[in-house]
Amino acid sequence: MGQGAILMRSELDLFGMHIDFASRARRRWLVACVHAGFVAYLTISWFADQWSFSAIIGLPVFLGAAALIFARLTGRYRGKRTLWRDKAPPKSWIGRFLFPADPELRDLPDEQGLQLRDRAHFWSYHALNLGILLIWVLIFMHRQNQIREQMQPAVAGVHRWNSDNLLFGLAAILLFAALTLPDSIILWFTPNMEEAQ
Amino acid sequence: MRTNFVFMGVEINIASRNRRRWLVVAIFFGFAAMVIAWFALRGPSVFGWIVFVAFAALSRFLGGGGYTDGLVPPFEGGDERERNRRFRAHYVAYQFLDFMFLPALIAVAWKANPRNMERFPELRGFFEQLSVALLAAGWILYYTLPQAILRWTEPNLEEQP
Repeated sequence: MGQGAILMRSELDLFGMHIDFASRARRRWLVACVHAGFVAYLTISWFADQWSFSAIIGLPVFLGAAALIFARLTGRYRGKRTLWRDKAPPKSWIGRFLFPADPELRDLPDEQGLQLRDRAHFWSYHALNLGILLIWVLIFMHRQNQIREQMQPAVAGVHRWNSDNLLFGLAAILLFAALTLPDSIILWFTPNMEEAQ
Repeated sequence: MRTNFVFMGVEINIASRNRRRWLVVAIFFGFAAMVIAWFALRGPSVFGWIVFVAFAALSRFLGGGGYTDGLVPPFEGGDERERNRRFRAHYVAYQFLDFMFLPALIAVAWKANPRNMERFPELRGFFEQLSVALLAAGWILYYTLPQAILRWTEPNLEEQP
């Protein structure tokens, strides 16, 4: 895989536990657990209160935690040692004083790393296709409900509940996918770092 | 990539980067105007269908995806350089996608909560329309942003004297 993959973090302090993520199998387990956890959370939350209070509290926590863990591992928010920048960040005055001979580009991923990043986003983008198409179907359903509501106010509440909840569920799934899918692909496909090192 | 197209019988040259950028701005201005007009027209109307048809026509014109006659070639095939540019355009577009669905989710969540609707009945129509308009805007951006980025970043194709 090259230098791009090595820029990825191979270990993480998660909930006080030091976990080694150099092995690809372990990274894949993490990705599978987070995605299965999201599906389980949505299902439980639906049966608990139809995505009302539990979703308002739980969804931001789940989305934030999943996105941060993945981002931390892939190096999205890791300052200089990042896989996500195209240009090297300027060296701080301390850096210039302490390491004057250090080349500016030392922490940038190589071309292979950038290509992996771009390709992961391309795949993720197209993986969202079905969900995006469903938006139009649900908007159409929503409009039909509005028309029905005007014509038959007595049955409107039932239909409104269905279309509102479906729209909410779809928006939540799309946001979760948008936040986590590229990182998941990178974590899933990057080979074992133990071997690379 | 194409350097000219025919609009209502007039051949328009878009080899220069400046012109292409103006075209991209005009297309997105059109999309924004449609979504805002849709948002302003509260209640059921046929305007949603007009937006859909206009979007389908403009998206076919922009090309990309599986379209062969658009301004951008289909997202399959091409040489290594072309593929890399396509991947990079999707990476850039994805940065917008991350935040596109957050406001839509908040608006839908607000609308779906019956307590909010009981407490603020006057805002019901507003949030009804806002959630639909935000989702529609996200939907339009999803299908057009990578193509727009490709057209925007492409260098000048005009012949140098």
